[in-house]
Amino acid sequence: MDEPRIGVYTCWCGSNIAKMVDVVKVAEDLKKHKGVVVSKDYKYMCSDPGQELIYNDIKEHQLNRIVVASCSPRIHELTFRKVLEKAGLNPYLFEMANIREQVSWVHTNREVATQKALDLIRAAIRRVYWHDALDKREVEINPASLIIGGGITGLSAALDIADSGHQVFLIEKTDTLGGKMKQLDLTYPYMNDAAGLLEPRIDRVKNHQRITVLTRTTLKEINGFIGNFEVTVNKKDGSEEEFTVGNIIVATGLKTFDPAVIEQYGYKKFPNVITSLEFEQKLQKGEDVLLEDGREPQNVAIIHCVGSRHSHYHEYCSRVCCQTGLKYANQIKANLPDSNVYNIYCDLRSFGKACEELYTTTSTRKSLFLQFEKEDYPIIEPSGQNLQVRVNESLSGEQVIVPADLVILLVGVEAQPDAKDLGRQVGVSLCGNDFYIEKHPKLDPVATTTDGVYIAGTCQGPKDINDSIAQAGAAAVRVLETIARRKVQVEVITAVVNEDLCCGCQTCVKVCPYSAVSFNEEKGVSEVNEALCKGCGTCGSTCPSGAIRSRHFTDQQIMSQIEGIMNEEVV
Amino acid sequence: MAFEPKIVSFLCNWCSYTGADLAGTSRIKYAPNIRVIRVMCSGRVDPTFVIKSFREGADGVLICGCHPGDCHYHEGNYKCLRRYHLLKKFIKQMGIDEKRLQLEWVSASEGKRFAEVADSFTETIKKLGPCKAKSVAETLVR
Amino acid sequence: MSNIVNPTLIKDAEKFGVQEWNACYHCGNCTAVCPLTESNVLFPRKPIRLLQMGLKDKLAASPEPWMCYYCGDCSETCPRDANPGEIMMSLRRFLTSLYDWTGLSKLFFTSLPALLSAFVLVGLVVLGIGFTQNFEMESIMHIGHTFEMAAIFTVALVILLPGILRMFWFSIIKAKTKVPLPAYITKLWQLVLHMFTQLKGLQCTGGTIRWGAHFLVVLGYITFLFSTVFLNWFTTETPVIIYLGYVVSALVTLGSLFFLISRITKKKEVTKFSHISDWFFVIWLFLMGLTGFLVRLFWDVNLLSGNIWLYMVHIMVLAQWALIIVPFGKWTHFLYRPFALYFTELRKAATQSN
Repeated sequence: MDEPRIGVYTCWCGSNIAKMVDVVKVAEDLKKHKGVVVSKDYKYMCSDPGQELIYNDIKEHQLNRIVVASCSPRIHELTFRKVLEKAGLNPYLFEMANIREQVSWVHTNREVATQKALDLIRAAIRRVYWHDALDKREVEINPASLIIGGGITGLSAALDIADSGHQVFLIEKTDTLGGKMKQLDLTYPYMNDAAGLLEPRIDRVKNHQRITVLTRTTLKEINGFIGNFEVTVNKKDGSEEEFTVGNIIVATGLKTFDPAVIEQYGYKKFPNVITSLEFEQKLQKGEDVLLEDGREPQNVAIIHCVGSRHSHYHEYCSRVCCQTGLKYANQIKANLPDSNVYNIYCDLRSFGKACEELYTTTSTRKSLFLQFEKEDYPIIEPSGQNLQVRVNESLSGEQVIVPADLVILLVGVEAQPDAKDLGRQVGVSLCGNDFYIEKHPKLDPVATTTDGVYIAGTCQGPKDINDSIAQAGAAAVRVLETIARRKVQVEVITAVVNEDLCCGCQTCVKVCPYSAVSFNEEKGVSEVNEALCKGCGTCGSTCPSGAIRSRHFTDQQIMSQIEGIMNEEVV
Repeated sequence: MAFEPKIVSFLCNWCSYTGADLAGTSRIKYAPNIRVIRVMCSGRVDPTFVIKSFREGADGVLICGCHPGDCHYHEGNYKCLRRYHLLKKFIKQMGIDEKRLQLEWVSASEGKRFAEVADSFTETIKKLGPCKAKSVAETLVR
Repeated sequence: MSNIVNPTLIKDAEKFGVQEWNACYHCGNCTAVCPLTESNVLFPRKPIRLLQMGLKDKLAASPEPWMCYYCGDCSETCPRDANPGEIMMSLRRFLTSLYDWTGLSKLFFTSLPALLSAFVLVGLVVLGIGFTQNFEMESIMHIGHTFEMAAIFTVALVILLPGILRMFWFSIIKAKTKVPLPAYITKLWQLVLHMFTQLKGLQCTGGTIRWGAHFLVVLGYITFLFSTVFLNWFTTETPVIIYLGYVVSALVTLGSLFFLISRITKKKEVTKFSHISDWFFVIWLFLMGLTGFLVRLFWDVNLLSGNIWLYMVHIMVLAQWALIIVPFGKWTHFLYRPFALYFTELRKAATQSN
């Protein structure tokens, strides 16, 4: 190994780091560290001039290892690795120390934070010394894609990909395509006919020569990695089918909240208390707005926030219900002009194009709006042969009784009940509310931490049709990106066996979750299939002889980190 | 001067390291005694890493991984769990209080929980006082 | 007291002049800007809310609409152009018709044909009486005077007193407010004060001129009423009283002309909307003052006997005023507002003692 010539760069990140860590002192102190040739501080290392600083120093000082102390490697590790590449260095001769998310943003004492930063950077410096140059591995991408879910999101993504000339497998667990949108009558705010928007799309998908639609089909298993996913599905006739795809888009949609748990709403207890979806279905079939016994309702109460924004049910806002409530007020008044409509809400949310206007016209002309305090739910009671809603009305400060023949509960949206299981199969995690987690909530809402797997639509979080379609397009573009490049880089931090040290105990074979390690009977040693290895390192920590090396996370590298943390003397 | 422990912490890249990052982006404050080493999976944590940490003078070792069933590599955290139980017995026999080693499950969305874990483990170690493993080992070597 | 929401009430209320009743979305700007609202008597937002929800009992019990002196600041501030000032005015008309047990108040506020018919009827009856007396000055004057006394007495006993009692019933008895008995006496001076000085009007924004003009009209009117009707001083020979007659009728004429012109030019918020009852009130007041002034003049220059038509017009105006506008029209605010203030004081005393 050549003499280490390490460049250390400590970032101010504006004031994000510099406010709590004395970056100038840190950069100064580290100049004395063994192996460090250059130690600088700079305002924004990830910026162009920051990157150029590293580039120029590599050239000028013949640096062969780089450490950057800044934000989390999850943000910019790739950025800086590219700089090394450009300068002719192997990108893996690089290490980052996280002194922002895990130091400056979470501590309050400048001295203590600076000391912690120094410990972590020293660890990085010691570690990077032991880094090896690793070669990039590229694999061919299979241009076919799998889309799980045949609702508006899945359909839109399928068309986007198939129209670009690539094969799509679309699997849908129910009998029909269209998802929840198929149950809608009109869409807000313009009152377009939902079927008119959806059916053409379904037709195109069914007739598209590059889309294979499999209804009543569920996912059995997925193996492999980006570019080469081996998919096995259970079909409707009980048989299985296998195919290979390069990318997967999860568009499994939503489920509505079951209001039976809210006893005071009397769902399934009193007649004429229905959910928004049930009401929608009636309208969609062209039925008149009628009570169960066929009478026309004189008073219709629409209750908002059912199961949403409440600490006992779901704390989040389901986003689509308020506008739906406004839509219903308009539809009911059109259907029954002499009826009285009441929207009983807690906070009205009507954002987006034309939605504020919808609220204004509805609240001034169509419906009486009554407000209850968050979590102080109204109570539905029988009243003769009809119902009444008892509300602690907060705009007047009085408890009032609203006569209601028909009550529509605007139920919130939830993740599908099988979200967790499917998530495990495809490698996507769930957030606290059981929706799939995106790679970055602001900057990368359709990608996930598993390369090649994308999420789109309401399975990622509550949203309406236009946002679902937008996400479908976003996911499709990411898929098309990888297909266009035809190759994709795969994991380099795989395991490798040192055959001289291997004693053939086969413990590693037993622990690998991907069956990537096999025993070579002839040689009497274990072998790693790098195509299957995902680099978890479990084998590395299992091997009693130290024969398996987890590349880029070797024992030596990690031990040196421990030493760097614990030893305060500048070596 | 009050005793400020130094705790070496192994966080798995996919869940607990991300959770710790989330604590950062949420600006949740916690005790500054943790020193993080990132590994791809909690299953990578070799028992020798833990021993080495105590040998180098760490007062506590905290391992964090994904919740059971959620491991990015399917089973790595279970392997870690098995090792952890054995390690606890082992360090006890070596004269190190077994409470100095802790395993916690922290998911990518649990920023607050990570901070709570960091705070409570630091408190535990503070109560136990400095770990004498390093100084004892050095006297033996001499 | 019923708390059942009833959105059909609003359809009734619309005829009283309420316009954009549902535009209000309860931001509270109106109450914040109102110079007269107090922490335990909040308006105009609360009564508007009660109206929107159709809580008739609570509205009948609320004195808040009477606390408003219509400066118009709320309407100027309202971000939704819901015109809270006019809604409060409409509520006053609505409440007036609630207090009236005959139902004629509601009829006259909401139906222009009915109102016109009543005016025409009264006018014809007066003419009829004149006819039976062969339009002879002395007997007409005598009948006129007796009639005025009888009318005022009857209207007061049969319409106005019950109206006040009904207001009391709604706001104190039915609302189950427990007023400590001494308060009835100790707060009585408020009733007298507000009835005769309208002092609160001074607190209205830019209200000094308006208050002044109104005060002078009231002063003129009351003096006019007492001197010519109760004291029958019209036929007096005393110069001072004759001059007084000119003065008070001039005050009424000019004062009401000021208000009439304001309503025509619509410069202020309060004069932008005029209900039929507003027009009749201010025009009839003007006519009363004008014909009164002219009758005084014609009498003094001995022209009246030859111009009995003038006296007939005067009597017609007075009869229509006394029989329609006073018991069933806008005149009632003269009583209801001070009583509302008095009852509010009683309610405050009730909450203080509890």
